Amino acid sequence: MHGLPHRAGRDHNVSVILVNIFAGINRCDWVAQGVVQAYRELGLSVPVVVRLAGTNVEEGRRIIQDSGLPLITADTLADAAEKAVATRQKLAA
Amino acid sequence: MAILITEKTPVIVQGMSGRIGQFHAEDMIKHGTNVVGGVTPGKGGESLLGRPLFNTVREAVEATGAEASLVFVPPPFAADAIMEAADAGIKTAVCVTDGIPSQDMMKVKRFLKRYPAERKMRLIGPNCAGIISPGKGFMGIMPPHIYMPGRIGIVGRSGTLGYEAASQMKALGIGVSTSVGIGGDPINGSSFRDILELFEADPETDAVMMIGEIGGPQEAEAAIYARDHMKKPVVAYIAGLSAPKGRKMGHAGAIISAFGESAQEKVEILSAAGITIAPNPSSMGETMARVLSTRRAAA
Repeated sequence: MHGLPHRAGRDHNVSVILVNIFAGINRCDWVAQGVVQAYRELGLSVPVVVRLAGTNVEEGRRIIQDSGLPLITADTLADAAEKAVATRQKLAA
Repeated sequence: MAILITEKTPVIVQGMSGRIGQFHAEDMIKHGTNVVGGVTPGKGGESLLGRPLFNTVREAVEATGAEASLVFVPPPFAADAIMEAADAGIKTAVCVTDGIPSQDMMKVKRFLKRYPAERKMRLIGPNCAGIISPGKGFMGIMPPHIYMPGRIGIVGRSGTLGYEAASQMKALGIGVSTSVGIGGDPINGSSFRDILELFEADPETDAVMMIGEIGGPQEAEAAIYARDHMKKPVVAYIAGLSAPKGRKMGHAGAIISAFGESAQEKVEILSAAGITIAPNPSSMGETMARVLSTRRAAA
């Protein structure tokens, strides 16, 4: 999981990362751990919007919250897209 | 009644002793699915999750009366597992496995064709999320808590978009009779049309949410069926409006290779057949809500 933010985090053309997972066979706690690990190891400077739903969603959200990292959380797909675009516009302004 | 699975359907899990098989079998049991056993060659006679394990599907069917099988078998052996289920008299098999070689699936299709209609196994998938009749039971990998029991059928190639549809509808107080993932592979067991036929005949389903994507002719075939044979309203979302031609988008089957296979063309074909289109993946729930209230007003 943490390979993707790894790649996106190093691309200078990327200004916001949106992680959207509706987990079935995947699990939100695995995804959350991957995001937190990637954020710490890379010292990411681009904002990350995380939307988690589905299997083990509570554990996933707790991992994101307890991490203390400035991750932006969203509840729905539309909410996540709006937050990602708003963050991008704030950066551009 | 729902379609394909109810609280009574006796289900076995092929590959139940694997890590993923066990996690989801446990979830299925927890949510009321009638799981009667598992199949793992070499582990016959043992038990898992309080259910007996068998070496072969035939033994499992003879001992438990299983009618449905969920296949959690790795890609190189999955086709064999599906054909074994058909041979043992299983009525409905759901295969979650992603990465089954297309040549193996051609073999499976030919194998299933040899059976007379009344003994022919119905295959759902592969590379799918499975099937769920909320509050009754499920076979697959979906998170069951996002579904509310109700009267809308869902059929889709993408598992995740099926989850989106179910949770958007739940947020609006609209429940699901059965949700069916037909899978993202180019060669699959059941088509959109096959599942639409079941929903049209199901007295507990009032309308259908159909979630297609780029690639293949199945959405267009479903459109013709809906136009000519369905009284129940269909709402559709087609993923991949921005997909370039010739590039595979996530699913093996999601590639625009012929006329009529792009999202825009599919949207036009479906619209022409009287199907209401949800314009983006966040509007599946509200589009269904609008169609239902128009129907109610007209009735």
